Amino acid sequence: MELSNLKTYYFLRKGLFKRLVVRAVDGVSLVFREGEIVSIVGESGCGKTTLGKTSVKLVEPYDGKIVFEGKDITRMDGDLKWFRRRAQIIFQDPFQSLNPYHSIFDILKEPLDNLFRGEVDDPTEKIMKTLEEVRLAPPEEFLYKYPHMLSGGQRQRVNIARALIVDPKFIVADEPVSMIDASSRAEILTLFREIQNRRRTAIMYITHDISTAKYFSDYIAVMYAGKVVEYGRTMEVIKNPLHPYTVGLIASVPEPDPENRKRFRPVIGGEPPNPINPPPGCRFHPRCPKRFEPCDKIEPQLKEVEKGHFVACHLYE
Amino acid sequence: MGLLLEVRDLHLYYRTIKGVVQAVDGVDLRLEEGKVVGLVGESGCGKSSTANAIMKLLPKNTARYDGEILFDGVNIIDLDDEIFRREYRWKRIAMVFQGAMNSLNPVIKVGDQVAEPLILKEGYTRAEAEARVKELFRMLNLPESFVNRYPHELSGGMKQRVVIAMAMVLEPQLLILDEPTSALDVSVQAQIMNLLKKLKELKRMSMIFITHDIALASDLSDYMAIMYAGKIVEFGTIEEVLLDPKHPYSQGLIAATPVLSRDVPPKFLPGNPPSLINPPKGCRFKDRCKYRMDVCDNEPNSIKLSDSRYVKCFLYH
Repeated sequence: MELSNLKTYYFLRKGLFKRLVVRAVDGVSLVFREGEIVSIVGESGCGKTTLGKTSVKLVEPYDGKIVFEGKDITRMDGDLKWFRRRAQIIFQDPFQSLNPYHSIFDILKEPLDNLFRGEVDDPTEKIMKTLEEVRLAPPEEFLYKYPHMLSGGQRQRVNIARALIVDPKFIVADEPVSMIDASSRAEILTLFREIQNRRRTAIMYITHDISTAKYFSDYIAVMYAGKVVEYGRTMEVIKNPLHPYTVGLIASVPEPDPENRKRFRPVIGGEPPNPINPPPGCRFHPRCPKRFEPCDKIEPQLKEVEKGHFVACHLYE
Repeated sequence: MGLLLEVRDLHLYYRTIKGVVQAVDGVDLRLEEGKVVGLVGESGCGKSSTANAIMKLLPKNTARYDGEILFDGVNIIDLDDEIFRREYRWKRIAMVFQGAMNSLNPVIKVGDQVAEPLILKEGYTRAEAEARVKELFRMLNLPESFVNRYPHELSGGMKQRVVIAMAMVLEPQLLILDEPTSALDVSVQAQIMNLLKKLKELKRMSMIFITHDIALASDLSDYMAIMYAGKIVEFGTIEEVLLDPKHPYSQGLIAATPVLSRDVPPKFLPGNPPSLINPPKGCRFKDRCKYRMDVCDNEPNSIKLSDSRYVKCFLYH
């Protein structure tokens, strides 16, 4: 999948005549290759969820291009079946994304009915195999359970199974572990790694937690106020962050260390900007410790600074 | 350094249609003046119930509430409710509730909301109260003029500061913080943690810091209490618990935490915590424990490992 200069705007009405534009995603270009996990890291309101939704066409882009398997699907509407069979999304909240009146069997059968009516010989067997793949074993035990009978981690596995059952090529996982207990987070993320290795699926992993991105992705794209400010191989971005925002973000992550309480954490002051009125020039400049002359006037472009490591910052021009 | 709080064998059970929930089951805690204890555990382990028990905020369906909560030498469990309300709650023991920033009254200026207890409980005049609130806002890095703002005019981080101001306005000796940063972005979370550190030093306030995030707890805490299924399974100084965890659950929880600066991938703890309605006999962690022995079907005692440390596990009997 290739996203080029993707823009998703929301239009709000204020009063009778005023119209406000929320530039949720404002010119993002990214490539997702078979068998690779790309993390989209950023704080709330940076547009990462909108980016995920736009790339599976749950939200219409305002401008830009989405190309999937060589096909331009930006304006594809009406018959999305072809695309829905190939691209799926897993939502953040495992408590709200499963219909409480449907059994696990019903939940997993629905995508087969909708997208592959009559094409799957034995839906029950397919459902059982998928349940096994997400480690809800033995599957017979889960088939006729209802969501409320499962723990948060188990529900999230049902969500994953629902996405996998159509054998997609591309999965968007929107904060799949943020509402799950710490002891089972690593388990769910390991599952994504296995899926990636076994099925060669391309995965967009959306998260606010750069420390999980470190272990479970191949590339990281850091988003700030609707734009990608840094992109590169995961280890490269984490060991050698270039953008001052990425540096600050990494410094803000708490680590289990008894020495922590004896010192103050270096922090980024202020809070993320309002996407209706982003600051001019570099959107990070009001919070940036290293801002200088051009930052509040000229918008920096994403440039390759080192091999495969892109950054949008005037410091590197 | 005097002992401020000593909790001994605290129980808090709730009656429900399905049976009695043993939310807090024999909890022991000690806290000195000016120190912070991190109460860490997964959702549903009884952390918030422990806090409510110390605040004597009990729901109508309380089935059992006993033990000892010695606050400054007085057992507040035996204390008359009216005396506790007048002399202790908010005045000497205050709490920042989980998600409190979303329960600010939307139609009252935040300054007035913070000033309310000063006027009602302490007999301040409006002008005196306003001066006091402004002073508090300054200390919390909020502009003084914000006393005249309404909650919707503030960002998440600012609302969280207002809620902390509300809890601190009567200068309590003990402040309980229930997940005070869980709804905030990492960069804002780091700001709030720095602020709490500053308050701890400046005001010599004791705190109980409740969180599911062991790394975050280490940012502030001098002691750490690891809670599992209604019981504190390990208690010690932050150095003892973090660097050399003894209980298999503490070990698992620490191993499950992703760390940015080290290259060890997080490991998961298989299984789920037991239901607190009919918890298994004996050690409640035994079904997930890799060291399980026959003797674990009995209740493990508190084993004292050092002056500051105890663990409830048969490995150390």
